[in-house]
Amino acid sequence: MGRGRWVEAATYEGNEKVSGVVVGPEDLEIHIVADYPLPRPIPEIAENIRERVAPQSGGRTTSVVVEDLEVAEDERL
Amino acid sequence: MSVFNRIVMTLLFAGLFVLGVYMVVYSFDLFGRSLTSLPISEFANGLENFVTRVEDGDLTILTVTILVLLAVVGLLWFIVELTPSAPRRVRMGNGTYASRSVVAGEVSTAAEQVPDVLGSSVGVRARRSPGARVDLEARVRRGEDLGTIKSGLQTKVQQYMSEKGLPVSKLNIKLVEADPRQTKTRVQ
Repeated sequence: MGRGRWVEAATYEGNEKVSGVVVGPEDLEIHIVADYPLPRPIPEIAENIRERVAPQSGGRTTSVVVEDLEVAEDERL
Repeated sequence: MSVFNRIVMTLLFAGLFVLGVYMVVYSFDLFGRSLTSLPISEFANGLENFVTRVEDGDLTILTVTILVLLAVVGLLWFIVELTPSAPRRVRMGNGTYASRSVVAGEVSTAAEQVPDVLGSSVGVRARRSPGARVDLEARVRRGEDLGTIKSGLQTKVQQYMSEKGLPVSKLNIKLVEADPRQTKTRVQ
């Protein structure tokens, strides 16, 4: 998950902090860091995430924010 | 509100607050202070004279120029304040956004895949509409055919970005002839 530049991408509920997800009354932001090279174009990845999250989003408008691209670790190394 | 305007407004309100406190103290003769003890008679006279001269249209050219400049600065400031600030993230359409650094990194990767490009620096500005405005500065060897490199670079970047699904609405390319010894890559 991405956290935002100043770790602003988080949701606080009670004593718990969930980084990478900003839940508002009517919208939901999901911040991600994608592995590089990308398996699919970014809009497709975002669409998959939106589909996965939809059942739990409570009808909120879901936005996906790609914070960064990281080179995936090579398991053979 | 921009950061500069916030600072100005904070200082202005702090000043007004302090003046308000002084006004209450002097108006009600608190702590042994009264309005009559204030050394403002010269200032008040000067202000009165100035207002009289404004009403009579008897101002020097310098004063008029300063007043006009102040009015213009105020108007420009007001217009800047009304202009909506640029969004931080690049909109890709349909509720998907990418940070500017992601777009910049991908443009740089695409540019440096072109054999003639020895190095690059990228500036990305997000827009309200989908797509980013990208300013790409690519460093090439001296004596190369800049027109051909530029068109090849444009095609490569557009193609690469569309494969990744990152929309670029405007791509400005600037080619800079550089010494290969001072660039990121000497030979491609």
